[in-house]
Amino acid sequence: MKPRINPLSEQGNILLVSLCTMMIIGIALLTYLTLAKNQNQLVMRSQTWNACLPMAEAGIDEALNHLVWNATNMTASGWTKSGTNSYYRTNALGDGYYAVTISTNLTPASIIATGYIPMPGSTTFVARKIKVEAAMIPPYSFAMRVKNSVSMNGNGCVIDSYDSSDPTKSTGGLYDAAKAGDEADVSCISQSGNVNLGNGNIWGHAFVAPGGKVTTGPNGAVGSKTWNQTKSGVQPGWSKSDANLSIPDAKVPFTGGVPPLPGLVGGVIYTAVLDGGIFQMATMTGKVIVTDDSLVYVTGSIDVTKFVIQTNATVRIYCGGPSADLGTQVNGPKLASACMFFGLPTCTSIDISSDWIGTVYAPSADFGAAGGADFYGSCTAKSLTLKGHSAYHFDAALKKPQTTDPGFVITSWIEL
Amino acid sequence: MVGIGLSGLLTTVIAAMTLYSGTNFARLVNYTDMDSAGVNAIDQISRDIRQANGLFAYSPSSITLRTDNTNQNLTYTYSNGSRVLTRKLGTNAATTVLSECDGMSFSMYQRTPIHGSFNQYEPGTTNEAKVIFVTWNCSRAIHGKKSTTDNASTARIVMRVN
Repeated sequence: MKPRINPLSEQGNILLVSLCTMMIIGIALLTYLTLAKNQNQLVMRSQTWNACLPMAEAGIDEALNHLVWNATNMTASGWTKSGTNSYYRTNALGDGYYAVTISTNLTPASIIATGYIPMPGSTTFVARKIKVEAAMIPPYSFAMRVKNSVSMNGNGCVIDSYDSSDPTKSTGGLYDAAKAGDEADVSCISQSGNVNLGNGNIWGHAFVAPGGKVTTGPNGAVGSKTWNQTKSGVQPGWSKSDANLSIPDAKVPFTGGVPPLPGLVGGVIYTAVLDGGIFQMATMTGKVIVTDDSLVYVTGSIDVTKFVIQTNATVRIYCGGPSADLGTQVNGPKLASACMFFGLPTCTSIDISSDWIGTVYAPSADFGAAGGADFYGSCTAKSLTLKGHSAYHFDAALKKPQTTDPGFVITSWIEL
Repeated sequence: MVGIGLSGLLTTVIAAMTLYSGTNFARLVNYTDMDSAGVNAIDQISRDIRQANGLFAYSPSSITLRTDNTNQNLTYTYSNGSRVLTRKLGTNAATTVLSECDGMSFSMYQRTPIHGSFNQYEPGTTNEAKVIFVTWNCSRAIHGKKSTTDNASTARIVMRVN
C-alpha cells in the first residue's frame, strides 16, 4: 500500500487556514490589549486630572495665608515680584507642584494657581488652572457671635446697628435711635443653642446652627428695620440654620509687662494710668485712665469703677481672671475700636452696668448687660444676656475692611 | 461520515466561541465607552458645580445653578423617559451630557457637617445649599438584553464660593 501524499494545493490550504486563524486570534488579542490600554489610560488620565485640582487649590490656600499674614510685606516667605502687577510663588508637593500669583491690587485680590501632576510613567505634566478673587473681610462682620445662646429678658431689649463713620447713620459718631439701622446680624453656633428674644428685637439677621432655634415672644421680631417697626416674628429670609463658624480662644498676648503706676490726671486720682506701652498687672480695680495707645494684660479679675479713654488714645485689655466688671466708661474717641477687650479661656463672666463702647472677644465668657446699660460695638462670647431695658448697638464701622489686619473671603472661583 | 461529524462539531465550537468572544468584546467596548462617557460627564458636572456661586432651583432630577462667570443660569436635567442628562446654559440649546442613563438623582446639603461623620445637614432652602451630591447608573443592551452596567458614578461636590 502506497502512503497517500497530499498534493501541494492542499498543503497551501492548510497553511492559509492556519494563517487566517492566527490572524483572527491576533487581531482579537490586539483589540483586547488596545481596549485594556485605553481603559488604563482613561483611568490614569482621570486620576491625574482630578489630582491637579487639590494641587492648584493648595496654591490658592498658600496665597490666602500669605495675604492674611504678610499683606504689608508681600515679598516675604519666598514670594517674589513678578512683572509689575503680581507676586509669584511655586512649591512642590510630592511628584507635583503648583505655581501661583497674587495681584498687587488687593481690592479684590486676584489669585491664579496652576496645579501640575505628572502622568504615571511619563515626564509629561497635566495642568489645571484656577482663578480666585478674594475680598477683604472685616474682623467684626457680625454684631454678635455666641457659642451657646442669646437671651433677651425684658421689654425694650433691642439689638440694632449704627455706623460711627457715617453721619447719616450716627450723630457725632455716636448712636442715634432716629438713625438706627438693621445691620446687626447675630450668630449662635451651638447645635443646642437658641436665640430667645422674648419681646426683644433684632434689627438684622439671626443665624443658628442646625438644630438651633430662633424664638420670639408675641412682640419680638427679627428682620429689617421696617419689619421690626411694623410686625413681629421672624421675617422670611432673615434667619438661617447653617451657621458654621470657628471661634478660637483668645491667647495670652505676652508676659513680663510692667505694672502701670497710679497718678493724678485732670485733678482726679487714678489707680492706674495707662500712658502708652505694654502693661501687666495682677488685678485691675478702682479708676483707670488711658492717655496713650496701650496694651494691658490683667492676669486676674477686673472690677473697675470708672474706665476713661482719652481722645486719640486706644487700649487693648486682656483678662485672665474669672470675671470682669467693666464699670462706667468714658470713651474719648467715641469709637468701639478704641477699646478692645479680650477674655482668655479662664475669663468666664463679663458684666456691664452702664453704657460701654468697645469690642469684646471672650469665647468662654457669659456676657451680660443689665440695669438699662447699653453696649455699643461688637461682641463674641459664650452667651449673651440682655435684661431690663438694656440694648445692644452694633457699630457697623467695624465691618469695614482694615488693610492693616485683613481677612479674606473668596468671592469668585473659576477654572480657566 | 466521521469527517462530516467532526467538521460539524468543530464548526459549532468555533461558532459558539466566536459568538461568546464577540459578545464579550462588545461588552468590553461598551464598558470602556460608558466609563469614558461617565468620566467626562462627572468632570463637566463637578467643574460647573464647583465654580457656581449658588443653587437657584432644585429637584431630585434637576438642578439650576447660579454662575458669575457667565451671568446665566445653568440647568442640569435628567429625563427618565429618554434616559439622558442634559445641560442648558441660559437660553442656549440643551446639550446631552450623558445618555443611556437608567437612573439619576441630585441631593443637596448645607455647609455644616454632622458631628462625627463626613456628611452634612440637609438644608431648608436652596439658599443654604453648599454641597451637591449626584449619583447615576447607566446600562447598555446587547441583542436587546441589558448586559453592561456602570454603577459607580457618584460625586459629592462643594460649591467653592461663599
